[in-house]
Amino acid sequence: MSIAYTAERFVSLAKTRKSLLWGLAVRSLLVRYQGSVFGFLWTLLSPVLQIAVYSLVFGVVMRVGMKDYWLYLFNGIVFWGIISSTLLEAPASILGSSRLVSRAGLPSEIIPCRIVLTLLLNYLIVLPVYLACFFMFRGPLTIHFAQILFILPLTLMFCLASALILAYLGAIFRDIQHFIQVIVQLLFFTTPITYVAERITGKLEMVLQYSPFTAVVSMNADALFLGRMVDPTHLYVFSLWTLALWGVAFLVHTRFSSTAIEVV
Amino acid sequence: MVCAASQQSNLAVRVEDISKTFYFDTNQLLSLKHHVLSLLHRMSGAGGRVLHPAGQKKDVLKAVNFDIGWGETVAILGRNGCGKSTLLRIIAGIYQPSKGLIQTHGRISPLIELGSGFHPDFTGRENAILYGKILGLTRHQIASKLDKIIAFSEVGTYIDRPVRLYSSGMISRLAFSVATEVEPDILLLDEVLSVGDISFQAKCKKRMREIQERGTTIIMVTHQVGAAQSWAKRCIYLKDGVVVADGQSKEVVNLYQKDNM
Repeated sequence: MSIAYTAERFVSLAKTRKSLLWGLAVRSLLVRYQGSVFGFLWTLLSPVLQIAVYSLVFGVVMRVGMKDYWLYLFNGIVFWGIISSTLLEAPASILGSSRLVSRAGLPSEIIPCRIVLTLLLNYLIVLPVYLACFFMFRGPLTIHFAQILFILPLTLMFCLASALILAYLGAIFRDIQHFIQVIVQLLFFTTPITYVAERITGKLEMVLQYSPFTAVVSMNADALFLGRMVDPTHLYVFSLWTLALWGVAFLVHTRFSSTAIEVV
Repeated sequence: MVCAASQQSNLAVRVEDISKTFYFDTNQLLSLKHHVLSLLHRMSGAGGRVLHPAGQKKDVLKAVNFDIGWGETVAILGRNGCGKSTLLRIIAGIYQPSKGLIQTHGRISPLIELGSGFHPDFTGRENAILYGKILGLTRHQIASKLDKIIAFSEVGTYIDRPVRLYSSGMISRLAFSVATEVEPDILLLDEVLSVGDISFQAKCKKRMREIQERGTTIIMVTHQVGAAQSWAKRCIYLKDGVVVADGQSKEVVNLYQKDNM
């Protein structure tokens, strides 16, 4: 299989399988909380509870003295949810849909796309709530908020490439799904989600300023909380990482996609 | 490689020198250590794509060749493990061949383990819609066929209940209804013609005859000579990944029976 074949496959799937992708995304959104008392309300309830915990830990116990710290957390945690859930869900995703893929003939590429689309829908449900909270507690939204219109698509591209890589590799190397949990935890604390990027200093700063996660989370904080222009360096760093990941995603798809389907 | 045949071709399926190799020892395949070793092996210039010690791979299909014309019904006959299901999955585009070329034309509806893609927590209706989409229908196309699908499946009011409450027969019936109602150009069947009770089987047979008359190409995989003979004029006998015989059902079935007595 060649990279040309991979590219052709993506284009034809994007053209013909939109309705299927949509159906799968809605299904996974609905199935997540099925059978629970609060049901779909958990989409909102779960970030609210997370924010409460982190506000308590960082705001009260560790005394982060930022004004409207809970709102900063709200923004950061909800946005980070897209990235962290992609990384956590992707490695076991083809395995989890093995019957659909190896028997019903579902194209495996749909699965990583489904993960990212589900997370986007989830985010779009919570975002208006955040914006309303911001408006009520911090004041009117500024023009800088519009920057999310390029930050979000770029983030989705980054997530999709990551999901493709992890989905295929995770089906073959089962260790990845366990390993990634530790990685995501590490990323959570080394990324300015619970603190502001300026607080990182010293040697760590050197490393973290080239991290795509620091870059994108900082951009999101600039746009949707601090109300200022994003740092162009962050934009370059993140765009380059996204591009590089797509390169890797193509290679992984070319080399591993057929093997992945045979071993699940 | 898989590619679509050209429009003017009068073949529905062309299987050209298809070989398929599986690497058996999954523990070896799945371990990171093995792949790191392979990589080092390659980097050291020893050659070879991946290190696979002898005895860990199996050639499931060996240079298989045949053409299937439009509207033909062909039974692929063989004992368990002869490679017939793998061959069907390659035709369906689920597996990639290790070597060779496969050309198919039109919409393929694979029926491999009926209802295996159904989600237990969703209703029969929701599952039917999604299954239809997997088989390549649009939302509107499914909506227009849904009543017929439900009627044929005989699940009645259960259609709006979660599939986990269904009996295995109901699941098979619903899946069979969807897969045959999508009007595929090529229908692939893997030992699935014994669906439901006697009266439903009679309906299935009627539906199958209709599909045949409509000009749908049917490829069925089976180890039952009776099914092969009653449905297909042409049989392909597959033994250890090699086509032993390809021709009139009666002759091929005779050979198969002689071979396996």
